[in-house]
Amino acid sequence: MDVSMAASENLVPLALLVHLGAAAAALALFRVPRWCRRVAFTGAVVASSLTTAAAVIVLASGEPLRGPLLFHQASGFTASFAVAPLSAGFLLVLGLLAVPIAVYSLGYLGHGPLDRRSAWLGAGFNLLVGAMALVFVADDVLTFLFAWELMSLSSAALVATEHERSDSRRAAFTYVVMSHVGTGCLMAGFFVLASLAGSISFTAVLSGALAFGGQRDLLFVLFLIGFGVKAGTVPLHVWLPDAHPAAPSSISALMSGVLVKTGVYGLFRVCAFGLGTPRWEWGLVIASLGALTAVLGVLYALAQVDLKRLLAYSTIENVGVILLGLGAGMMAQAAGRGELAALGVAASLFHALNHALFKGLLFLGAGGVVMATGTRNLERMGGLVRRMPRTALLFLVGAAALSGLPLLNGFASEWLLFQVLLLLFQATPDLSRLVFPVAGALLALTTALAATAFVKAFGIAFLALPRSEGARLAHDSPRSMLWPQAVLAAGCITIGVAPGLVLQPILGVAASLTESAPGAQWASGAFRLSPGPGHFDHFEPWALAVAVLLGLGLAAGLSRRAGYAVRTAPTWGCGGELSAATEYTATAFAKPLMMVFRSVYRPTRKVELVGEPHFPSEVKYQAGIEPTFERFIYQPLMRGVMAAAERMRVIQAGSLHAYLAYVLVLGIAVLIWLGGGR
Amino acid sequence: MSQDLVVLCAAGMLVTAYLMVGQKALFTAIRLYAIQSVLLGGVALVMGLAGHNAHLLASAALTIGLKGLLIPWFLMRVIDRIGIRREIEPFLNVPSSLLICLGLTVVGYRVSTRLADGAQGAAHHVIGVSLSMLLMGLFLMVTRRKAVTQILALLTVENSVFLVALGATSGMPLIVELGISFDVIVAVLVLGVLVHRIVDRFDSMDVSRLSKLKG
Repeated sequence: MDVSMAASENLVPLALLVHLGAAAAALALFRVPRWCRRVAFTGAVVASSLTTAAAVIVLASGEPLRGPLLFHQASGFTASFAVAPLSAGFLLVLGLLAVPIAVYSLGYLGHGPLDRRSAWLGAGFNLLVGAMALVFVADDVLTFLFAWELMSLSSAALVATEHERSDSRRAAFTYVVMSHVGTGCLMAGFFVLASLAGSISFTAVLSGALAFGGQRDLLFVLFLIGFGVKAGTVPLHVWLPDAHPAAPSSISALMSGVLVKTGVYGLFRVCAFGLGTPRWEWGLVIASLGALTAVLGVLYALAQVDLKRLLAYSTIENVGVILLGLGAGMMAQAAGRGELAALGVAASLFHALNHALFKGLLFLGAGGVVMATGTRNLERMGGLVRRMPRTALLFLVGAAALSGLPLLNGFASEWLLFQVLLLLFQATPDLSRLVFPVAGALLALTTALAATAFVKAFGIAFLALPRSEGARLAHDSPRSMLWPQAVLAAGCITIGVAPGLVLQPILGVAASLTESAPGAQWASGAFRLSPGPGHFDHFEPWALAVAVLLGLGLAAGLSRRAGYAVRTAPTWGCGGELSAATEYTATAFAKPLMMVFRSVYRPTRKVELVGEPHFPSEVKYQAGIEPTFERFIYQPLMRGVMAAAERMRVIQAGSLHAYLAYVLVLGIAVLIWLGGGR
Repeated sequence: MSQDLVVLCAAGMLVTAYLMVGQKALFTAIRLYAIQSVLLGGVALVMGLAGHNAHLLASAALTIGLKGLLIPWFLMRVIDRIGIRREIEPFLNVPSSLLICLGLTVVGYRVSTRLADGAQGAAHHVIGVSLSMLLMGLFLMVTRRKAVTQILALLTVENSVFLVALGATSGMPLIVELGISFDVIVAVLVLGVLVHRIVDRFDSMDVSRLSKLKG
């Protein structure tokens, strides 16, 4: 027992060391990209397996793993880690996603133009995964901030992988600036807490008994901004749709699946349960932000024609759903309904896990598609289901899971979230209960729109005829890229059919946060999502699965028995020739909904006729949507900062004497201030 | 007795600082600096003899040797080489500079009376003098144009810091003083070379012309 405990405590430091070693080896082997990839990604697989093992041990035993990472003799500073149940949950998400992505990267980097960037990507990937693991397990303020910064910088470097393209550089720049604003808020918040606590360890800093009243609210806002930037909540999301598409697809999958979740982790750890019992209003703020993020995210996703941008906006939507669950949990906690709070938190964590699985799958699939067709533009794809059947099938599984179709994991967590909202409506006595049906309605709207967006993504990219030469010549991805996707798809299906398997540990994690366990009936079996304390319905996926299979079998049997003749004929083309030009386009597919939501999109369109007025030889059509946030929030902000900087330039006179005079004046002021104090 | 001597030397240093502010000829300014350094050595010597403190004696010797002789000699050589003798036009004229320095002395003394509970008697005067000199050194840097005067001002500031150390704690450990002395020598050497380069490049050692380098 003693030996195994000691061994499990060493798992996390060992994993971090392996990451570091792999990154260093990748850089050292930069001349031999093939070996560089092998070493880097094998190292990442090994290290992620170690962290996953640590996470599983903690989740199984419920006992946190703690230990020191570094000890600095002279200052007496110890960097320490602790794998608490919440950390273990997120660490598990990281491990579950990092391993397939590392395997995928081996094939993905080997077959594309990114081959020569192997050292960069291998080292960056290891640093990023290691930093994220450290963010999840850090147990003191300094270690956390160090890991947070390392994570931001390494991911920014990965976003700028194709640094010869100006849009990549711009995306990386926006990302760096925004994440530093966030880090600034985090530093302010953490330092205030640390000075109140007189210690930097998280046990003291996040004890929840340090700040009160207005100061506590201010800290909440600081942390909300700091973590909200990383999570991509709506007014702070603008970096995300630029950064995710700019990075190589394997990195996009990691960023979307886990990096964004580090923000969510922070919101859980600090905003929700680190500042004492949350106020009801805080829960309302987070839930409203979540609803706004979800609806706007999915609306913007629907309007995109760039496949990876669409996926990025859908990430924003899913973060919204996660925050909605967290907000509901916080409101329940504030109202003293700990068991419902645990349920809300569990729904939120469950969705975070599910989103990592299906969004990782979708980004990896998109990577294969982009590699095969050479474009990210949906309007230039089409017909890929015949040319890339395996990718298409796996992408379909991911898209269906994201759309919340039953028998897949997305349905399970969203169903649970609906249950929580309904239960909270039932459990709240006063008028504030009206919040919950509104949230439920917005969640339903989001799910429906997400389904539309992915019908568009799948339909336009994979069905009908190829719209470009690239799409016509596409062929399926190599096996090393397909297997990781298959593993993720299998995860989506397994969790969808047997949600109880993962819900059990997740409920344990949630109970560790809210300090009151939900009723035992919530996870009574692997194969059911059970009814709550009220009279709501319950859901047994296996029964549904059997029903679906029986139905399909019945239909097949009936059609065979009836012996209908099968006749193959070309599609009716209104008497004309059917070609790619007659297909429904991505823009056209989204058009009706864009008209319905035009107050949100504020669409612009320009139609230009070339040639004679009544007999144009060519019609040019250009449609766009108003970038509301960029235009009304960020551009004024940027102008303000630039104007202030311009005014500050007066101080930078460039004269030695002026600078010396500043020193003199400051020196006298300090002397008088110090001397006048007594 | 020794207390009086210390205060006398410190007061002498303050006088040299004032003379430096009022002085336009570069050679005289360097000689004033030499006198100032010797007086500083005198403070250390008296304190060392009175307190039977061997390392203070060593640092007194170091101060007189390096700052009283070597550095002034080197600076004079630099001036000889570049052939510029006078500070032509300070930003402020001499009378108003002297008035401002008077104000700075008031500030320095005022602060020194409130600084530390232990600083009374001779220590109070020494700290007052050194704070005033520090501010005056900075002031010299701000108002003078010639690079050599700037170096002298910097050295004055360095002297005053040394004096604070003597007044407040009866000297820093020898190893620290050795380090500082070495730093000062290197700084003066580097600055001397830089002055050469500035004169080469701009045909003048007016540092206000350096603002042309700004982008």
